[in-house]
Amino acid sequence: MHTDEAVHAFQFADLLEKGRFRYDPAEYHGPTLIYFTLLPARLRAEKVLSDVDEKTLRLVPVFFGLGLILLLLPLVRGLGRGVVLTSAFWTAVSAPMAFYSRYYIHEVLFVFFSFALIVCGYRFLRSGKTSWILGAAFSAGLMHATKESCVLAWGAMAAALLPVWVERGRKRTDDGKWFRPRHTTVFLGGAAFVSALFYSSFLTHPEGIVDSFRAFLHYFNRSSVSSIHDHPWDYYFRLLLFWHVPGKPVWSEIPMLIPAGIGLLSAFGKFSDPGTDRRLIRFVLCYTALLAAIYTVIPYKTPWNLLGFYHGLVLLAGTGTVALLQGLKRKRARIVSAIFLMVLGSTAIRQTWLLNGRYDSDPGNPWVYAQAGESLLHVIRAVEDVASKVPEQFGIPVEVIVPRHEYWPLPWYFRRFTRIGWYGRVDSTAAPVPVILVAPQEEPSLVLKLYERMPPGSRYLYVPLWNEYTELRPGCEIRGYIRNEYIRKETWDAVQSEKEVPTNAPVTRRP
Amino acid sequence: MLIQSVQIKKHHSKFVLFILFFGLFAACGLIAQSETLKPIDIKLPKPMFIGTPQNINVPNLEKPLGKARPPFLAPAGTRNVAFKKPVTGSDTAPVIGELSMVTDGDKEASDGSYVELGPFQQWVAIDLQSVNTLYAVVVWHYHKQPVVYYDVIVQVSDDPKFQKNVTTVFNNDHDNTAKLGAGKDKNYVETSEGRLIDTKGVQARFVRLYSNGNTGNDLNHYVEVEVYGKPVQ
Repeated sequence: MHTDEAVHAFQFADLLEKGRFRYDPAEYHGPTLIYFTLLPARLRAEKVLSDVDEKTLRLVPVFFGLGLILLLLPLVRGLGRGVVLTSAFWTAVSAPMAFYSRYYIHEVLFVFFSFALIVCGYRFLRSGKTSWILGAAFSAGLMHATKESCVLAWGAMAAALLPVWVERGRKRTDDGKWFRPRHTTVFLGGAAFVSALFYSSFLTHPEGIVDSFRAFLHYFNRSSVSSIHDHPWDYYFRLLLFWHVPGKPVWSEIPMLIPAGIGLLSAFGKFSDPGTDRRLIRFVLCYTALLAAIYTVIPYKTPWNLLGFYHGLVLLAGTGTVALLQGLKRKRARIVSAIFLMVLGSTAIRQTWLLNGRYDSDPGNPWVYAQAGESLLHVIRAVEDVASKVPEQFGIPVEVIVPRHEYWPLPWYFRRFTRIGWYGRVDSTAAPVPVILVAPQEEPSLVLKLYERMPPGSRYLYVPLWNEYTELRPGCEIRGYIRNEYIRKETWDAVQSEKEVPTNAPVTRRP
Repeated sequence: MLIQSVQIKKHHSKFVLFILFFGLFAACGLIAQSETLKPIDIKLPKPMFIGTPQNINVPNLEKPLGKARPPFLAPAGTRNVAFKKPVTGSDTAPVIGELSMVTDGDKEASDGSYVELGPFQQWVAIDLQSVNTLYAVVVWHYHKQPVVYYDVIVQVSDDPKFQKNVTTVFNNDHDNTAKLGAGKDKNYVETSEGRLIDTKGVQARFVRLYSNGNTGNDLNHYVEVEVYGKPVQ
């Protein structure tokens, strides 16, 4: 689990166990991820956090990730069947889409609701049906209820609509002719209703609605302060075009970006498929470009933030694939382009397979960011091994001490432990406990507490739980210590199972 | 007489009042003390939420500690204060080796690295030559084969005769054969890692180790004894 996933899991625990969610405008985004997790938890009859596992949590982003593919269906009348199929293909084989569809964070939900707004908005403009404007309203409300950065996506959508609207006016088409002021009211009212419902925790916490707007101030203030996640302007482009850590494979989204580039060009050309609406393609192109520009300018960057404009590139890739296959007149050229596209597609599939399998927590993976490494599992096994051998089991007292409370995602893995304390620094007033996990920076303070503050004769000896260098994530070492008397019991049990030696009772003596 | 008796009665009543008051005060003190001795139900702090941590992704980053960690956590400056210190024993003429081998730093179980003491209960004692705060004692009996030594008792004291101020830090003599008190520690199989004994930071100058034969024979052996501590300032 990633730190963010584990934090969200604990926020969900509050809702699951106490039926309570309180939106925090300073951090952690909107409530939709938490509320939607109730559904798989209820279906799996999970009542407390210790019942919940990674499957329950990750079913939510998986559902919305798959939903992104299904959302293409209503656009058959806008993109054409071919583009819908190829876009579905590129969505499914896209490495970041697959990767973050298994991450218990808000990103895939946000992209889903953003795309749902585009789909519903387009269908409304084409048909005038109230159901579509309501769908658009709910999608917009859910966008706001998911991430505060919805304003960026809305701004990009509005700006991308302008050239389309100008062209409509120039060509005097019938699209959108049924748009009335009341539709604006329906849209804004519906969006506000859905957003308010979630932020007020379904009317139990009305202050959450105000907090949802207060959040914009927080994020605005933060944007002017440097952050540990500030990256250069080309960060997203490097992630997409060429990502290489020495000693690791090279990763690139070029197999998808090539057809996306062709899709960009074809947005201004002709399509042989009469079902393809070029204005929709141009809208997607403008929206993608504007959103990419916005996120490029903002110094704060994390890899999952690019999913919004990346999804636009995926749609363009679908467009470009069809354009390449259908746009060439000669049969031989079409065969060559089909083979070329198959090579690109299979490269993308292989890359996605590796990035989501063998390299899913490797620091060389471009989509891995502050991810817990495999040595974390060693920490968990060591502590659980101790718990399994003592009478207290998961009630054995444990302390975890890491500066700035950066011990996540350990709280998730130790959720079954009933007497575990989490500290940002050594608490010299707390009595020493049998098992201590500590960051090296706090070790001198821990030694002071254990060996100099305690009176002589009351100082327990602590031995390492493991000898190897062990990390929570790259660059964050964690050390484990256990009171000597506990490990002796374990060693004795292990010895007993391997050797035939006299036990404590009775000790047999030779005659 | 009456005045005297009244005065006596006054004094007596004052005395009684004083005793009562003192008793009441003492009782309050006792109650308060017993209240402070009651185990407190400590609420352990819950994990604090944080944002996405920093991504540290430096290529070819060398791990800072490539070797095994020390055998136990201890303050800086803790060292083997028994190294090369004088050793005495219950057997002044060991059959094999010399008592000085107990603190010579050689932990191998090969010939020439261990001292063999006579049968049944024997002891060795190390004079640390100053009072030290002791964190751990590590003892190696003969460990080339998996044997168990009986009635292993480790005591520390500031008295070279171990008659007063004696603290027992390890005792697996469960039936009090050694007449030093029954112990609750378990028997253990000798290994090359030695037996790590927690001395809980007790302060002492002398360390004495007892044993009473082993599963192979009645004899007693020591390869090495290390005492980890820091001199008391």
